[in-house]
Parts: sequence; C-alpha cells; structure tokens
Amino acid sequence: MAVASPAEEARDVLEHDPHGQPSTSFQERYERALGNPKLARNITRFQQTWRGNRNRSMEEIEFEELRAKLKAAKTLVTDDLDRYLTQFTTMAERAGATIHYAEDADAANRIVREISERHNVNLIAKSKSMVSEEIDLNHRMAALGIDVVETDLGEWIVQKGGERPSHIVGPALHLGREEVGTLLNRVLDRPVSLTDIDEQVHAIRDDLRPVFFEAGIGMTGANALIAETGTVMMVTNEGNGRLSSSVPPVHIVLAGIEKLIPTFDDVVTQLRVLGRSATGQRISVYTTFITGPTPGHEMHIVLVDNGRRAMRAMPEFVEALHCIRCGACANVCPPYREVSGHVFGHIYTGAIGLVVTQFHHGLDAIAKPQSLCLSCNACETVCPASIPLPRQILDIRKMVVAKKGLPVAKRVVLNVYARPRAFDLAARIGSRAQRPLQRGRFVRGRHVPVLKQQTRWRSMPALVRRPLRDLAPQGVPKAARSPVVPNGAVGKTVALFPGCMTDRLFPEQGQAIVDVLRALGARVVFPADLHCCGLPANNSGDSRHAKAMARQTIQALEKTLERIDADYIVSGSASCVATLTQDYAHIFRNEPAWKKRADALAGRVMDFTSFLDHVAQLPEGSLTGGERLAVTYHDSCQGLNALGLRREPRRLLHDVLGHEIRELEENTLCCGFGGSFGFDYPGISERLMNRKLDNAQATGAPILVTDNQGCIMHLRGGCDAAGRPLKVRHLAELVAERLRTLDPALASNGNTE
Amino acid sequence: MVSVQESIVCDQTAAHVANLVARLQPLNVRVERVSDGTAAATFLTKVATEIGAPGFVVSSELTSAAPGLMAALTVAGVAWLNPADVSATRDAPLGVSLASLAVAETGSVMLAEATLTDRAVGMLTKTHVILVRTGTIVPSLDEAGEALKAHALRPGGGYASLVTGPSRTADIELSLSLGVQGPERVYVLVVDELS
Repeated sequence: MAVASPAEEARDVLEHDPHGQPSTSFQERYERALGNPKLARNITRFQQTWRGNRNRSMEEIEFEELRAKLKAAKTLVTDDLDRYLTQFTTMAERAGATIHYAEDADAANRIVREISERHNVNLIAKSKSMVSEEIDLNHRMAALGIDVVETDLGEWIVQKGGERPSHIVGPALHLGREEVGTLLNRVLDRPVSLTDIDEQVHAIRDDLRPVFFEAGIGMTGANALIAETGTVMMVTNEGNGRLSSSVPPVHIVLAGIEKLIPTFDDVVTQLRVLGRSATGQRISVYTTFITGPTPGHEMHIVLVDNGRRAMRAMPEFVEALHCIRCGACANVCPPYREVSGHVFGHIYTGAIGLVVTQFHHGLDAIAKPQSLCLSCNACETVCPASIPLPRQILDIRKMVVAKKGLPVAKRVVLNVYARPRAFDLAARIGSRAQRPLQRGRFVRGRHVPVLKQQTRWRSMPALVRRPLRDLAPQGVPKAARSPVVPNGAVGKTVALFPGCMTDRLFPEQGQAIVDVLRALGARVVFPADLHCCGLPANNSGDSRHAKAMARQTIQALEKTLERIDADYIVSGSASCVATLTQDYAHIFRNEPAWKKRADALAGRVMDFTSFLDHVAQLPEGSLTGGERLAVTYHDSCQGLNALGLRREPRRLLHDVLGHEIRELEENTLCCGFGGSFGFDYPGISERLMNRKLDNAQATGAPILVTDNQGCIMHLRGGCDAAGRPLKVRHLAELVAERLRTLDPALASNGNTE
Repeated sequence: MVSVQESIVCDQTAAHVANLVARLQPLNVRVERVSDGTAAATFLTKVATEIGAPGFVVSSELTSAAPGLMAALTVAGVAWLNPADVSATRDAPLGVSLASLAVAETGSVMLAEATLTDRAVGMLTKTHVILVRTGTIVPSLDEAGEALKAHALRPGGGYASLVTGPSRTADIELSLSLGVQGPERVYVLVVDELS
C-alpha cells in the first residue's frame, strides 16, 4: 500500500487545496459553504434537474444489465492491467502515437514540460482533464512560464476565478450567473451582462477562439483508452475537445491507466451509460475516437499511474478504478448538495473523491471530507460501474480512524456501547437520570449547553425505563396464535432481532412486530443476550468495536438458534438488517471461519417489511376493514438503497391495509439522520431533516410511515422540536393496529403478555 | 411493383429516418430527407438563403463524392469552395460535410474525414449541414462501433467523431447555450441517391 509519508501529505494538502486558497482549512470551507444560501440553492436545483433527466433517459435502456456489462469489461482490465496496457501501447504506437508512462504527478508534469520545451511552446489549449487537476498541471506549468488555458467553459470560469472545479462534470456548478458575470467583467476587457447567461457564454467563446490557433499544444483527457485498436475516446458537449485535439500541431492526451477498456464493443456499453449518468443525455454531442496523430501532427499519450497501481493492489479499493467519471455519485449525495465539491472531496469530488483521493493525494487530504458521508448508499444505486462506494468510504474512514483515532466523545460512547453489560447499566441509570429534562418520550437536550447545536432542532428520545427485553422472557418462544388470515408465515418460527433503538427507545414497536408475527401464525422467540449489531461502530470507522459487536451478535443469535431452529431472524430496522446481511461479510472478509458463521446467519435475516411481503405474502385486501388513513411514506436509505425495498412497503400500506399513500417529493433523498452525523454536522442534518418533513407535510397526510428506527428517532425529534403536527410511525405499528381491530383478543393481551 | 424484401428494406429505412428525426428534433436539429443530389442542392440553397450566408465551405470529401450536387449548386449560382486550410473555416457562416454513417439509436452522425481541413468544416463553422446517405443509417451504436473500429484499424489510424446535435453547454445554472465552440446550428440532410 502506497501511503505517503506525513511530510509528503502535508505538502500535498497545501498545494492541492481544492479552493485554490491554501490558507483555508476544511472547517472554514465548510462554514463558508453552509453560510452561503445561494450555493445550496444552485446545487439543489442541479441535483433535482439531473435526477429527472437521468431517470427519464434510463427508461429506454436496461441500466442494471449494462452496468453489469461495464463492470465485467473494466474488471478484465483491472485483473490483467499489464496485458491491456501493452496491447494499447502497441496499437497506438503502430498508428503513430508516442506513449509515455508516468509513475507519479511529477513524472507526468515533467513529460508535458519536455514536450513543450522541445516544441518551444508557451501556450497550451486544454480540454477538460481531471488528471491534469490531479497532477496540478496548470500551476506547475505556469511556474515554468507555460500558460495552460482551460477551454471547457466551466473549467475556464473556475480557472479565471482562481478556483478548482467543484464537480467532475460541471466544474462551475457552484456558481450562479451573477458571480460569473462579475468575474467576466473583471477578467475580460468588455462589459458583460450579469443576468444573460447566453451573452456570458458567448463572451467566453470569443475570448477562447484565438487560443486554439495560437496554442502550440492542444491537450485533452480521455474517457476511454480502447486497447484493441490503441484508440483514445473522448466526449465533450462544447466541441472544445475536437478543437484542442485537432488545431494545434501537437496533441497531448493525459489519461489515468484505469481508462483502459478492452474493445469497441465495451466502449459502446460505456457510452450507453456515460451520457445518461452524467447529464441525462442519450449520448454527448461529440464522441471522438482518435487513433494516432493527424497527418503532419504529433500525438503523445501520457499514461498516468500516480497511485492507481496501489489502488489496484488493495482488494477493498480496486473497483474504484472502474470509475468512468460521470459525476452521478455527487449528484445524488445529500451532504454534497449542502456544501458542494469544494468541501465534499479534495480534487476529485463526490463519493468517488472520498475514495480515490488517498491514493493520489494522501490520506490527510481526505481525512476531514470523508466524514461528510452519512452512509445513505444513494451513490451506489446510480453508479454506472457498480462501484461499492459506501463500503469503500467506510474503509477509508477506518484507515483515517486507525491513523488519527476517534474524537474523544465518540471514543467514550463507542467504548461503552461495545460492552453489553456496561451499556445495559448505563441505559438503565440514564432512563432515571434523564428525568429532569424529560418531557414525555423526549429529552429536551437544548437545555444542555454543550449539545445546543445538536439538539436545538431535534429533541432527543428518552430512554425507556423498561426496555423491550424486560417485556418478554428471553429465549423462550411465544406460541403462535391461530392466524387472522391464511398466509405464508403460518407455522414458521421467527427469532426477533429488535435492534438496540427498538429495545431502549421504542419497545412498543418491537411489541408491534411480535404481535403481528404471532397474529399471522408464527412462533416468535426473543433471543437472549442480544445487544447492538455494531452499526454505530462500523459507520464511525471503529473497526475494532465493530468487529467485537458483530461477534457478540453472531454468538448470541447462534446460541438461540441452537435451541430453537428459527426459520427467520426478523428485524424492524432496515439498517440492522443491512449490517447483518451485507456489512458482516465485509467485516470478516479476512476471517473465513467468522465469515462462514456470518453468512450462515445472513441467509435467515430479513427485515419486517420484506417478511410480510415475501414470506407472509399477504394478499391484496387481506387486512382492510378498519379506518382508511392518509399516509405518506419515507423510504429509509438502508431500506431503499441497501435492501432495494420500494414496492414492498407501498404494497403493504396500500394493497394489504388499504391506506391511501400520498407520495412525498424527492422520496429518494435521505432524511439526514446518518447515525452520529447529526452530532458531527448538525447544520447539514437539520436542513435535510427539515426538507424531508416539509415535503411530508406538503402531502397533507397527517402520518409519516417508515420502517427504520433511526429515521423515526430523528424525524420524531424534529417534529417535537418544531412543534410539527406530523405523526411518525413504524409500518409495524400500523399493521399491528389493524390486526388488533380485526382480532380483539390480540388487543386485550397486547403489551402485558 | 416492389418485392417483399425491397419493401422490408424500405420500411426499415423509413423507420431509421423517423428515429433520426425523433432523436434530433429535441436537440434543435432539423432533419430532412431528399431523393437526390439536385434536391439536396435545392435544400442547401434554401438554408444559405435562410441564414443569409453568401456561400459555403464544403469538405473536399463531399465534393468528390457528389459532383452532381456541386454542379447543381454552381448552376443555382451559389458560391461554394473547398477550404484551403483550417483557418479558412474559422467562423465561416455555413459548412457542408458528408457523414460516414448515421445512428438511429442516438441520432448521431459519424464524421471521419481524412484531412484536417475537411474535419475543420464541422468544427469551426457557425452552421453545419451534414449529408447522410440513406443507405448508411445503422440501427444502433453496436454497428457504429464496428465501423469505428474498422476506421481505427486502417493504416495510420484515423480521427472520427459521432456528432449528435449542435455544440452546447449548460455549465452556468444549467442554462442551455448553443454554439459554444462547435457549430451553433446543425442540419442533417438524408439523401437517398447522392451523386
């Protein structure tokens, strides 16, 4: 693993400051971004427009099929990099191009310098190239007296403004027309409108026109390096790529080695997802294929490693090399929306930036930005190369924590949390100690000065005096009842995995699940010695405690299953289910014995909603008959993005229970919970929460239903703090209430049994 | 009377052209289909009049492929020339090129001129008319990929682009502007029998 020494990292951070202002710290940039309402407005509008365009454009292709195909093609390359590198080199050289290989940024800059000096060039017309940003080419060449002019409109704007691109595809997305207009009036010797964007664009065009003719070198990036023919593929919408690669007598292509792709067939697959993922276009305006130089011209291809082989050597990160730089991961990212890529990322922005930066610019460069990921998993759902970004970001976080440690408060909390008995004691003491601040089910933490920022906008839930574990004998199965309706759960045995929030904060939701399962004719057992699955530690980058808690959980569940052979382990928390079924396999990837045990359990683990849909298979209309409620549904990120639930909860609410669902706007957007995220970044969390609650209230439905305890805690806290009339309920509670209506016997012995 | 096979080919061609129109119209590209070089000349003359261009630059590739068309233009009194070099195309009001093929799936046309000067006609002019032979329309990017590969494998390689609509940007507030670096207006003229 090639992690730079601390001295090198410090230099990198300084020289590569994403804002072009080396003096600004992450904290300063974060606060400046949050304090600029126009910024979030610009990016929000962009994200919303992009989402609509992207989704519409995807309707005419099979996205899942195509991204699997692209992943397969890119995997061939990462598996056998040298073979494709050699093939590309041979073919490109045969066509007359000169191939250079740069091990690092310095080498790449040296190669460009040497070519420039050989041709006595002091002006380079450059089309968009993220690699050139990565190696800090513009500044390095400027220091040598070589002027590199950005010819992509957005890049030109940020270059003139002394900034860095804030987005891989849309470098100037963070700016509005007034800001661009002001800049133009400063840097061009003609007055330009502050409001007419078309005029601004054409002013820039006019300024750039002569550059193509005066430049001695044209430089471009590459979207793909096609190995079978030695062809460079490049897409642009403006046409500056074609001009840069044609008009000047020397063409330099700057490309990372991961841009290799085996065949034209594969590049067609890439094109089918690239334009749609980047801008919602079927295909970009100019897709150019360059094999060898234009007759009479020179063509140089600089293949840049700069940390890519190190990435390839780590199985956790190798898939990040499959990235085709479409920017989709940033376009669905909730925190990105509030702070832009100048804060969310380093040179490479968005989710992919959090992953690849450490290989190009060192771990220190990304130590702070990586903490902005709230693990909503939205990026992975739109990534056209199926890169497991959320998991990779957590692996980066674990490296940061291993190197720098956790903040003290988090360390203390996770230390207690990882010890079941200590936590049990603390929770029981807490449930009494909280009383002076307790108002009903909430603790009004805003009266505690140290947590004011964190709790002013969101009341904290009160710990219950009697956790769920006290309400049911642990390890003793509760017999099935005669089913209310015939269904697939009849005769099944279910072990409940309540999750620690249900246990300590919302035992009535756990009770509701038990009631539902029994009313459907299932035998239910509450496993003994259960604690937390380890998600809080895992998401905090605390590998040691994550692993310890995962082991505890596996052992506790196995102990119960030894005595009672449960068919399913059901949880009302989508997040716990995702941890048990997906994260454990990764946590134990290097411990085959534990991985086997985790896998064996994972096969039986299911979230409550899926259980009712896939196992109970309640038919349409089977539980109608009570009051028809108007509800809106919040897709939890783990449910929607990790478990892929979308149809299931809606089918239950509407088809099975007969309620009216009023869809809320932006229903794929995170509510801003993200575990400890609200404590780390209350400014972002509050905005996301309020957007969700505003959207929910706008439907006019008085009830917001979801099926993840984290979201429930967060959203209820937000409603309480602001006095919103919305009721936030777990789906299980609605099902249980309906069943109690249909079977009064269930109601009579509900919570006391 | 046309044979069954001919009529299938006709149907497919019509479907491909319809697809091109459907793909390109939302991108502000006017697509027309004409039967031959003479009709093409009429169309070009009309475009020149519409945009007030005194004449146009034509890729030498098109000139050699369609002498009949060029003769018809001359007869119509329209001034045209093969640009002497790249600079001759710079901001020229009207340029005309010949596509290697067109792709019904995306509305793209493949430009793969052998010389830089010919290539410049589609890069530096303000309005670009691209002629497509009806028979060269392929259904999808898969066939285009095969053609692009064959082009790349020729001795000395080559330079080819799939062009899909006019040059555009939405870098400022997602507001769409056309004609940033490449041509601002693009016409696609599908010609059944180019001579």
